[in-house]
Amino acid sequence: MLYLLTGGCGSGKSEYAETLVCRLAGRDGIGIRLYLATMESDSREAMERIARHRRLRQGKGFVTVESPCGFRERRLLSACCGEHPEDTIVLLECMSNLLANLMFSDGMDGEAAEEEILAGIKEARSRYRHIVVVTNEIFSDGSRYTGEMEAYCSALGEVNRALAAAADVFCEVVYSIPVFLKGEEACRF
Amino acid sequence: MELVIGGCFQGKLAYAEQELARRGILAGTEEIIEGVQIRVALEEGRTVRILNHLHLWVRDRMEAGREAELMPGLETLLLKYPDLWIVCDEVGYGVVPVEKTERAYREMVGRLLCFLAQKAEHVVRIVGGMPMTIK
Repeated sequence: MLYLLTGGCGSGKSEYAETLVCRLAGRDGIGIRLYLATMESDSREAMERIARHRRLRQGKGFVTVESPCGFRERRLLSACCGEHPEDTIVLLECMSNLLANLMFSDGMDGEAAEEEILAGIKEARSRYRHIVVVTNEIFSDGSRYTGEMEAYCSALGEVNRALAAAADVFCEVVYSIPVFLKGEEACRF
Repeated sequence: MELVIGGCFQGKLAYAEQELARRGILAGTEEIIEGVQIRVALEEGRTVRILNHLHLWVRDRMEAGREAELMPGLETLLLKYPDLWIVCDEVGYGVVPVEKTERAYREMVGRLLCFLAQKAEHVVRIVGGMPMTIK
């Protein structure tokens, strides 16, 4: 199943996502928890954020894969779950970083990045038992953006809409409280 | 404790005051506690306080380099006034700001609201004046 979690900054969406993965693993008796980390540690602040997330994940049984391009490194991901992708839950954290990496580090345009992301998730969905994707609500600051920032916001909006439409579960985490837009029954444990 | 959140100019404080008025508690004076301006609503024998604009308090403290006081200050307030109403803007719904202090501010408001949402009796989100109880 595909779970899409969104939320604003500091909303507790990552913690909720990790808890969700642990509950799914417990309920379905799933052995492998892959954490696809998309954030690049290119600044002190990024390193601090990464360290904080690592602390939160500690003891929850995740195998962390540095994966700035998401599902692109298919062989690396396969190596992590061996012969048993159906016994694997993947947590991708987070879509806003992944898209930024493709558009700003890799120089892809919004449409190409969007296409790669959606194809990657579609393929992964057929392979792994559950996929949990964390994305970000960046759309309500009332500012007008131009150029590459506008293209980025528009592409993230498109990705979020396409994933929400395809997902089994779509949930906004509002300051630690899950607010379901779709598929709440799949998250009752 | 009751937590009311939402975008700016959505009627969050009006909702809190209406809810209290419905219970016969009317907004009256204001006072400063822990450096926060708090509205005091009165009923015979009972006083309920509303901390409006939590996010502005956070911003003021952070700009003064006193962010370490935020969490203990909130905890003290909650101990003193377990039936406090807290009203706060949702500020983390935009593009990540360029300035580091702005990023830290949004993050701090979010973390404090996560803490409060876990403790709150109810969490109500106001959109266009309409309340949606999410907890």
